[in-house]
Amino acid sequence: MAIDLQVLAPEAIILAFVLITLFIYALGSKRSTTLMGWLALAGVVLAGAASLYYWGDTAPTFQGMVAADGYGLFANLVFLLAAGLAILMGLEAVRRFDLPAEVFVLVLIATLGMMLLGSAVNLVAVFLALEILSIALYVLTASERDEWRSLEAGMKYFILGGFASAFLLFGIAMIYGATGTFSLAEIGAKGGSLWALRDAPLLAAGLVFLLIGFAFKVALVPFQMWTPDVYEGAPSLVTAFMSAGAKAAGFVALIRILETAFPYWRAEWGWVLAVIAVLTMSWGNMAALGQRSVKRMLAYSSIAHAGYIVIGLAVAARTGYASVLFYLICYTLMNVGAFAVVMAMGRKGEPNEDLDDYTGLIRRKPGLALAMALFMLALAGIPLTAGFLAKLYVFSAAVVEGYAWLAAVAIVNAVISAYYYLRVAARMFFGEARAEAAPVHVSAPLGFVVALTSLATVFLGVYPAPLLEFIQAAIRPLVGF
Amino acid sequence: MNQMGFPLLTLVVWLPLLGAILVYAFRREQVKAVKVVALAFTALTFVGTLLLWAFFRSGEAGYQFVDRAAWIPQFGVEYALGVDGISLFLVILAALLFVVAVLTSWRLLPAEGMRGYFALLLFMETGVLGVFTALDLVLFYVFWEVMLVPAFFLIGRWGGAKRVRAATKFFIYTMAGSALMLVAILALGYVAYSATGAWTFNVANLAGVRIPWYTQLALFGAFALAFAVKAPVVPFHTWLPDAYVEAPTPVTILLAGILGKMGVYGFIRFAIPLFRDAAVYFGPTIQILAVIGVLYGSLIALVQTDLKRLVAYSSLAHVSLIVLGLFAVNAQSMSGAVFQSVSHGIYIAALFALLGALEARKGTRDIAAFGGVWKAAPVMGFFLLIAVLASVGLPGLNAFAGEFVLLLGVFKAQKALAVLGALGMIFGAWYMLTLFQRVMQGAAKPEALADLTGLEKVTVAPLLLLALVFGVQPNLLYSIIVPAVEAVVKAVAAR
Repeated sequence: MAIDLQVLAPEAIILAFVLITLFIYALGSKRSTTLMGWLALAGVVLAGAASLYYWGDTAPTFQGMVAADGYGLFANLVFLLAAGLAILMGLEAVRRFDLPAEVFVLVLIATLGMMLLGSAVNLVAVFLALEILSIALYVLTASERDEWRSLEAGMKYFILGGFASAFLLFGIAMIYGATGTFSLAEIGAKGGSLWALRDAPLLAAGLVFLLIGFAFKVALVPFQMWTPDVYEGAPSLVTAFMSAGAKAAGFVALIRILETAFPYWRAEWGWVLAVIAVLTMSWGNMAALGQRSVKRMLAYSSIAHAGYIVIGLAVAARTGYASVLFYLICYTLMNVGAFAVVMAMGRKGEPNEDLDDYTGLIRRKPGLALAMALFMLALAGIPLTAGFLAKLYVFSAAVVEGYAWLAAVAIVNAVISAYYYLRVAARMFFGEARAEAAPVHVSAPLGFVVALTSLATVFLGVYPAPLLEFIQAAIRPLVGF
Repeated sequence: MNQMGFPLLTLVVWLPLLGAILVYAFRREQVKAVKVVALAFTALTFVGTLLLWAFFRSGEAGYQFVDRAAWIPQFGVEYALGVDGISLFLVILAALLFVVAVLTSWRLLPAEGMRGYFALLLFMETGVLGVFTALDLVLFYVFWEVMLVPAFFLIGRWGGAKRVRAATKFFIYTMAGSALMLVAILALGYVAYSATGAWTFNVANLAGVRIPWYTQLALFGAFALAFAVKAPVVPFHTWLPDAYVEAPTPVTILLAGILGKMGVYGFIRFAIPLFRDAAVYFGPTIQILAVIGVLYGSLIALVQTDLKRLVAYSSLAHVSLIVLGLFAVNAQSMSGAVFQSVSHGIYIAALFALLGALEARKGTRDIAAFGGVWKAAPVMGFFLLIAVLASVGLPGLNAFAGEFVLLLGVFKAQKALAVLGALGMIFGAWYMLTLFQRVMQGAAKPEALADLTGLEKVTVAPLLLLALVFGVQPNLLYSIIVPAVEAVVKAVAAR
């Protein structure tokens, strides 16, 4: 089996830039922080270019560990988008919140983990990639070192994430015990004939543990308890990166695993995921209703959106997976945009995350308020934004695959969510700002993130056809079809 | 391509949005210029809709001025616009009322945030025109939902004391009502896909699809809920008084004059022709709700002490009557319903504009605060008299021409419902004439009210003139409405 380095070219580029930035960090002074940020951004852009350049399908390589198919390469683009936006936010955060320069290195490492996770076709590679991702995220969460809530969040995330990893590992062990292989394709081939054998229960138990592990990582009910605290405590750029990128990586890997290794149990895991989808979106939306902190509200909203995304998995069909990829891109844009606004509102030691801090923002920072209103409407799923078409795609997949009831539950949820999203818009536009309200400063990189995400949110809502075409081409080679 | 060889309808629909963007070419302080731009664009749009009328081939049932293009080919979603005899006058009415709304905004509002105000108004116009012209169900839903956004901000920012609550309630109610419609649209698309093998949401392609009975009931229910909230039909009306009363007068004019008609239009364009069996099955139920709406709205209007609230409830009664006519599903009742939708839009706009003028002068909407206004303001009194007479259905004015035909159609099908509906008209005469008497006649209050300004006269007079013209010459409208309605009735009869 030849080792084809091309397959991992995007990952190799990210790794190279990890080393370069680390090198500069070791040698450089405080002033080299900005340089590290721009270099990290360059790495992300180059890796994105490489993903496009090497577009095509290759056989699994590195002893059958990873495959660079259209699916994995497309997933790379989602992760790199999230990483690029997070790094841009980081350029501001290192100054405003005094974050250490390591955040750039850690974002790159986490991105590397995500990309490997997206291309992994072997359970060992899945686990390794997930750990690379997770450990970087634990540190990132705690990176605001003089803020107790950031440290607390990092600790919580670390301990609960460790649990999740243990579940995952245990599941992998059971699956190995039942089938004697780590390769997804081989599990898929053997598992089908295992059904009648005595090892089937072991395999099923393995799948359940695997699902639990992933449910922890992507914050699905009932394994979501860590999410609000961690998302609220982590610096905004990390929360944006986690809730968009890391979640996307989890979903991308989960689709590949379920579809490649467990296609014969589609009906079973489809139903389980359908129930989890209902619980996740309902719980997320209900809990978000009562939040006064905009950041915490967004954390719960992120759980709700994970619920919508799971619908695309639950229908267990090509359109469903395509809709998930589309949803992930749209969600990355509108969610990162919203967190960028949250970050713009804050200052060192003064997060300004309460609804009251947003009151009358339209008079203080009209552009920022307009962008935030757009993100809120997009998250609520109002037409002419990416959020609407993302929901439309997922719902149509559900209707076509006989899950119309799931789409109905989801849309009722979307109406409930409109209430808390609108409340932010109402505060910003209809309220009078307090006289002592802190001034809001938007620097160039942060302004760029907000502008880019809001324009893209509208663009995708108005003219999604090219991206949809691209996604449908990317989903075609997914192993198992 | 359409009869003009030119995408006139697309131009008409998107022109206001262009205006909304151009408003921001001016500086914050150039209030006058902003207003002129808003007026120019609404007026141009209105002229465009008149061109539609001028070039409309009357006597034909199908869609005209159709503009089509692929929008999201992966889903089979099209950009498809067109008008027929049912939507033509609603489009014209919408464009007219937006001109009226801009004119009533002229002096009424504080100068602050004027660009945003007019941009939202123009944005809303594109949404409303899109709703009345979209022939693709997904496109229709997009316009239907998007229109809520400017309405939300207009009410919430420029409304009365409880404006935030009213705006949120309006948004959530309407969104909740139409949420299931989206799933129903997708399901309908899938039914068509299963039958034909191609994804389409074009209403012309969907009309011929046979839908299984129970699916039809569910889909009709989802569509009907959306339209019943919007119209509104009792018991989905509770957002109405809050929104109508708290909204600034120009927005109230639009809400009552044209937004409610979107629900009526949805019934006759989508819910009834697409789900013919279910529409006939559920028709009597909806009619009973409509009759309850007529009586309930009238009775509540009788005891109101607030000017705007009284007319808001009267509007509920009138729209309920229209819904009653729709579901009798015969050519007369439905043509009358479409005609009455247009004529109600005209006089309710005049009424709210005049009440807004009264409120602006007195600073209160309490009816008891007024009295003997006629002496001080005879022109206002005269205008209000015509508007009130139009609304009570005086022969020779437009509401009579609509309600009479409508009730005649209902009477042929269901006598009892027609009688109950007619009772609403009697109540209508009672509360509206009482309103007129208490405001305009009797002992004058010490402080005299100023009469209508020139601008206000120019704003309201054309509406009253139209009420008279359509009352005397209803065939101007009926000749175009009837063929389109007959096509719907025929399709339902042949189900």
